[in-house]
Parts: sequence; structure tokens; C-alpha cells
Amino acid sequence: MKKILTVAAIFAVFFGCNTENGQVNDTDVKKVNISTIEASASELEDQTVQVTGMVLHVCKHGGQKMFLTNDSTEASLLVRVGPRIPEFDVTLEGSNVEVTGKLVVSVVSNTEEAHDGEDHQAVASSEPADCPAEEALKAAGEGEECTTTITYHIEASSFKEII
Amino acid sequence: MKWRKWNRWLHRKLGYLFFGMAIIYGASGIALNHHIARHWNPSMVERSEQVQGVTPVAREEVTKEYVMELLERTGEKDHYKQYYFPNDTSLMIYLDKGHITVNLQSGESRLLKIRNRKVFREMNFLHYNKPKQLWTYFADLFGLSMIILAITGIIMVRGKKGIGGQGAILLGIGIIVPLIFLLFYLWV
Repeated sequence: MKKILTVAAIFAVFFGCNTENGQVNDTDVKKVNISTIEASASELEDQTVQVTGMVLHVCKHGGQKMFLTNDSTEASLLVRVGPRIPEFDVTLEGSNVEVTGKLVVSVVSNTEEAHDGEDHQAVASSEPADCPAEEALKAAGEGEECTTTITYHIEASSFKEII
Repeated sequence: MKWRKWNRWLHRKLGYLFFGMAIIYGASGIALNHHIARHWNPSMVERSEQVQGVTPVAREEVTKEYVMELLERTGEKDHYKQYYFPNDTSLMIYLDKGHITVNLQSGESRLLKIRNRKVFREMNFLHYNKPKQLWTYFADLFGLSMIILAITGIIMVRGKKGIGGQGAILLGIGIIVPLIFLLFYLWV
């Protein structure tokens, strides 16, 4: 009995640590809408934002990403699970959600986009970027146009369904 | 020899301890194999059916009443969430656990119902390391234990049935088969 209680205590500590959440201070969170992110993603880079929208699509191969939209824009916003979210359930499709997370901005070349499978939808939420000089020279040397774009997504730290 | 006794002890204890994990990873491994081969989706069940008798309509004419009438016909009225236009010629009606897509120009419509596949969903959830955090370390421990189980297993039996005899042939086959696949599908 004593052994069982010891094992139970170890598990309690184990899972106690596991459920510790990485909630950010409310004052650090910027409430924005999808259009704002679309217009000024670079300015919000690495900041914690909170955005609401309707879930257009949840990736069925693991539920690691979903796309949000709202009435004011035709663009969709890519949201990826953060370290503390196991997955997005596919039944979220069509629901309104409030997502909090870090806005991650990255420069992606056209060749990288072609290799990113389902992520092609994320390109819809992107804007043209100035090509780095080195890449522009390389592309010009090969007789191609440098088509680097900025893509962005939210790495979600929490989300909830809004009824 | 004394080390054989310890070898057997370790193999037995790890075998009992990670029996559950071996079943989870083994069964979900088979499921994921066929998922990658596109034979099925082990995490969910999808059922798709044509919706008959939908007449073409312009986007501007789509109202909530239109949507509700369509849902009434399909028996999905109670599952309605909201609707959305992916583009000018398509309508998407979201339901609890599914959706209906309507081609507004042709009237062609399809109802897709989705539900989680019981048991496999849970096993895949763990196999994919979706809990992350501490599960990562427990799963690492299992992985390490599988290596220990394999090593303690091949040196457990002495004689011609062991690693010095028949065991060596089986061991060789188990190593050569993956190498052949690598040779044909990756290296050449």
C-alpha cells in the first residue's frame, strides 16, 4: 500500500508539473484582428497577440495547424500549436475561436513554399518582401525573378471556443 | 554466469513495465504506416455523400433561410454552426463534426461527416507525442528500453538456438531487410 501511495505521489508531482501553463500576462497581449496582422505583420513580429476568427480548416494530418478568417478580410491566418497545446480538433471547423500566441514572421523563398505541402495556404497570408541582395543576384544570374515573400503565423499558447 | 541472471531480470522487468507502451506504439505504428500510405486516416472516420436536388443560386441570393432549408433536407439542421463563402462560386456550411460544400453555379453539393476514430485516435495522440512536455521523456525512456530489450533478448539464450546459431540467421534477416529497402528506395 505504501509503495502504491509513493508511486501515486510521484505521478501527482509529474503531472502537476505537466499542467503548468505558460500563460502570459494580460497586459502583454495585444488584441488585434486578422486585417491588422495582414497589414502590419512585421511590426507585430514576436509579440503576443490575441485574435478572434472563424476556423476555416484544421489540418487533418495531426491537427497541428488551423486557418482562421473573419468577415472583414478574405485572407486566412495560419495558427500553429505551441508547445503547450497538443492539437486542434477537427471539430473546431466552423467555430469561432479566440487565439492567444506569438506572431512569428519568416521570409520564405518561392522554392521553399513549393516544398511546404499544405502550408501553401499560408502564402495567402503573406506579403512580398525585398529580396536579400545575395538571393536577388543569384536569381538574376539564373535568369529568374526573386520572389521571396514574408509569411506569418501565430504560434498559439492558448485558445478557446467562443459560443 | 551472473550477468545472464541480471540480463534476464532486466529483460523481464522492462518487458512488464513497457508492455502497454509496446502495444500502443505497435498498434498505432501499423495504423500510421497505412496513414502514410494513404490507405486510411487512423485518427478519424470521414463519410461523404452527395446532396441531391440543390438548384444553382447566385451568391447574393444565399440567405440564412436558404441554408436552413438545405439543412432541413439533409437532416442536419440541428448541427448547424455557420456558413461561409470560400469564393464567389462556393458555399461552405459548417456543421458539428462536418460540413456541406455547395457549388453555387452547378448546384452540386456534398455532405462530409467527420468523427474521431475511437482507440486509434488516443494511441496516435501518444505516438505522435502530442502531449509533449513530460510525455516526451517517458516515451524516450520507452525507446531506450526497447533498445535494451532487443539487446538483452538476443543474448539471453545460449547454444545453437541463440546468437551463436539460428538466432544469428534471424538477426541477420532483420537487419538486411531494412537495408534492402534503403538501397532501393533511398540510396540508389
